[in-house]
Amino acid sequence: MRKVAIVGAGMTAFGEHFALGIKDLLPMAFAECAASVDKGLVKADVQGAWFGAMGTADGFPSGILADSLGLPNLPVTRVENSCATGNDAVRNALFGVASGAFDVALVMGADKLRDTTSKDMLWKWEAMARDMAWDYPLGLVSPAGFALHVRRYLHESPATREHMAMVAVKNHRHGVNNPKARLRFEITLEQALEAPTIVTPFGLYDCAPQSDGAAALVLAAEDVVDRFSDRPVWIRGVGLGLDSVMHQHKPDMTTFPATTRAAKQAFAMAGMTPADVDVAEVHDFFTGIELISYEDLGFAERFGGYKLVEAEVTSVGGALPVNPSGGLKAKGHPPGATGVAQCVELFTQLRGEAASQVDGARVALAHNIGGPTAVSAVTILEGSANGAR
Amino acid sequence: MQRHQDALAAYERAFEAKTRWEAGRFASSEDLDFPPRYRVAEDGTLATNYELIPLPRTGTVYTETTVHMPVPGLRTPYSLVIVELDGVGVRALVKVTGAEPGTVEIGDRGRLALRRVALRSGVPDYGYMFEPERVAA
Repeated sequence: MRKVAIVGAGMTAFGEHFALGIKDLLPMAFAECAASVDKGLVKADVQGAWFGAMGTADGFPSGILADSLGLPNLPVTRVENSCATGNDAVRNALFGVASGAFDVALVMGADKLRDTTSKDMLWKWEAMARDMAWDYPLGLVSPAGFALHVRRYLHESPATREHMAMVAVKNHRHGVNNPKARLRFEITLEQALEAPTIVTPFGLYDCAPQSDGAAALVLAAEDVVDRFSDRPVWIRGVGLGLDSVMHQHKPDMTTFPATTRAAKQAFAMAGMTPADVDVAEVHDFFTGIELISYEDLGFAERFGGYKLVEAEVTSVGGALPVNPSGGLKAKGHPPGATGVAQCVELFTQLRGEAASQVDGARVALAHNIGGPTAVSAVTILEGSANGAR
Repeated sequence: MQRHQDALAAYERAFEAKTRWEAGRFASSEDLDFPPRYRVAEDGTLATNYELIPLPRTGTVYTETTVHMPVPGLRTPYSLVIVELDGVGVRALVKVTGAEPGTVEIGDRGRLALRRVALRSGVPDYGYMFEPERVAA
């Protein structure tokens, strides 16, 4: 397989874009991405596209992408893999370029969650995400599925709701600097702990806000990368892992096997270990998920995730900053765009251009978990300092 | 609930095992599948001839959550538990009945009781719920 690099990255702000449809958000993200390509990009450079979209706002997603970019000849494949959609789109595009089928590929992700009232939207998606006869009539909404894991995790590990609140405080603090983030304000530990309960053990500030948004990356093969940039960001590893869909079939709910499977593939492909990672964007759909994911990704020992937030290891300024963008928690979560946007953040981190820059970041990891908790995608990136190829 | 209309076929497929509280078991294995399911062997052959085996109606709470957010068509708060059924290595996700929402804890014991879980297009949807042994204070 050929080596593949990211040479451009851009995104819209995440938020409630009532005035903007998906046909507006896609060209906005693409244009910002194209403008970030050091030596310039013309639309005709793009030979194929992978589009991550969980919903179908305004119609058939692949066609909407080609139409809204004005690229009728572009072959577009839609990827839908629950909350792992974005990084799975990156993974599929990587294979398209690494195989030699294309030299230059576009990855986009977008979703428009705020066009319907959130409770109707949520319920429509719920019906697609669980067993219709056994689970759906119980009211197993998505936060409840994650909460079943976190409740057991708090029972077995030393972690407490205070540690979950520390994740919320950290990610809100990181998000303040990010002009693309939806919730750009700091919160206190007390605010997080005293917020209204959504689904036990999650309070309001343990949950990521549903949002609209789009994100874009341009991938280029090593053979042509010099045409676009002298500072590409290399995709070193990708992985996709699955797990049982029904929660009652998961023997140990304190861990996400989907994540460990995805991470194992990605690290093996990269020839790296978790100790090589300098900065990560981790799927903090709920704060407790970030703690569990520290362990599943190999950043902490089993049931040791809480130590990283206690010691501020995962804050910007710490040894392994996690979610310098603000994460899903502060940035927002349009599922198709989320994984792509993580890579947009890490592209800027590895080029030393991020809003909350992690000093000397060389290797970065992006992680999604969804399904809920039945699919995970992991992407490992490396900057090109010292001419690395 | 109108939105359940499309689910009636799924409801029908699950009806036997769900209302009789039974798991599937193949002659070649001691494993219980709940819900019952087809299996594909290592050599790719399909097995469909499971028999239905009654499940225990007592168990212990493995994990719990109480939903406070508004959910269309359902009254909140309500509690969901995953119950480890006694002695069979099978867990089930069920709603809690006979106790205030939020009062059931991990490790609590109780029994599985047949209840009406939902109304689907006017059709009652029966299933089992967890009733704790003692109602917490």
